[in-house]
Amino acid sequence: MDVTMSDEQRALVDGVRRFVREQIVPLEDDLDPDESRLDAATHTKLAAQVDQMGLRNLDLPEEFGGPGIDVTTRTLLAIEMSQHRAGLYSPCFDVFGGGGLVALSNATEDQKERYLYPTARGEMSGCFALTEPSGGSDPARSIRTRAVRDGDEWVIDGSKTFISMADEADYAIVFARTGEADSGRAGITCFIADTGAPGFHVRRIIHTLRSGHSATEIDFSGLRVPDANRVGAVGEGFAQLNERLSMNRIPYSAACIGVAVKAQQMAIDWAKSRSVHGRLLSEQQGIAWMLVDNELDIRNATLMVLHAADRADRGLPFRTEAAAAKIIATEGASRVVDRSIQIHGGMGVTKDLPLERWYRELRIRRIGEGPTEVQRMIISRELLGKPYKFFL
Amino acid sequence: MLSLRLHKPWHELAESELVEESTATGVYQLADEEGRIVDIGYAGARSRFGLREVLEQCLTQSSRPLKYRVEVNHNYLSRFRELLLVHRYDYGELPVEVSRRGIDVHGRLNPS
Repeated sequence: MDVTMSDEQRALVDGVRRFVREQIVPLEDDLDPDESRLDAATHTKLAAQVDQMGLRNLDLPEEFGGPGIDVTTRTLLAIEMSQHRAGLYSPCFDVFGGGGLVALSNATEDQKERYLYPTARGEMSGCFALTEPSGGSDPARSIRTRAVRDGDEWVIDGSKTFISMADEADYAIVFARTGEADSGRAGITCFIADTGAPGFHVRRIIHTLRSGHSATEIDFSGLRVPDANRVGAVGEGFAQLNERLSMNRIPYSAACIGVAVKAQQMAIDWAKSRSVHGRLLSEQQGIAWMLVDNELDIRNATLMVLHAADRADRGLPFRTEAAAAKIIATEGASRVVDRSIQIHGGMGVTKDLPLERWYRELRIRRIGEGPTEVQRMIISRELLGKPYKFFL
Repeated sequence: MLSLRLHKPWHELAESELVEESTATGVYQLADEEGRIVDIGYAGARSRFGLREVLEQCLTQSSRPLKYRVEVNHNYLSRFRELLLVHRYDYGELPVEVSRRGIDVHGRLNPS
């Protein structure tokens, strides 16, 4: 594993870094501190710039029109794209596009024509409906939403919770049980449901620590979905899901690192300019060591995430590495932001600075995409399921 | 579970009431004399004196008697959006002053 960047990677990283600093950060001076979206005209203008950079729809495979970059480069770009106030959950206000499109990689050509390509062109948007009130950490057992075949259609009944943007999406990627109640992972099938169809109800917005971005609660009552909207074979939804979740943990972790890097820059600048008791904060060992601890967390997380990305690029199993990276990056970034707030004192908890927003949003990061405890279970299964050997 | 619709008490939109109003962030509704909700808005972190300041601006700009009610809320952005979507579900359109300000909201809620 080589952790130095190639010339091509360096050029891409420098380009995205410049884009964030020159185009994204200045916009936030005029936005609400919790804002997660841009007005349509600004979004369109910036998306056009990203198009010119050749980086639209980063997560879309090249054969479907994506830029065709590898996971390692995607990871490096994710670290850059989150380095602004809204960056953790709305990196560059989503002008790079393509969020969630990877879930449609297994779609048929007809489904791609109707959903994936229009989404890639910015004409449609989708949401990912997995978690249910019965639990989100163990979808194989907790999914109770049922889909029953009726001729050329499926009839779906059930409910989902913590579904981002379902109130705005044109379609939802829905995971429902098509097998018996105790069928576990073999009984889950994936569908594409139009959100405007009768029987698709967005019941409420769930207000969370992410105040500018809404999760929703939805229910399905007699929702009819044509069999032509089934993604993959009956009973294979969980396998598709597992693949998508593991891969997504890598850029998800990388975004946390970007926020930590920005917080560390702010903490260092503050420590070198702020005096207490006649000395700069940076000259006081207690503060200097907090900055060192920040750096250890950042480097630890970066190496772990790049290791997972490297294995994914080389076609090696990476589920355990992605789980480890997710723990280290989300928890490490949380500590970095917490220390950075402490170094800033009272200023750190005000909305004048982005630290308080990152502090709130990073707390969700330790739960979203599989909480820390689930990641530990993934790693422990690998550790205990076969004879132990050193990981390199 | 939080209530989708605002159920706080109404007050006259008047200086005497606003003097006591919260300076925190949050959302508000304005209603006319017939009780029709004519505006929904929020006081965000960029307002210097929160709901009180924003409602004082509403009072200054208003040419008719209005009532107001507020909900102090740190999640003013998502709550504002929710109130707009629920209003459109209940009445088929956004409040008149919201439309006049050129605010549109994409999406839908179907509260039971």
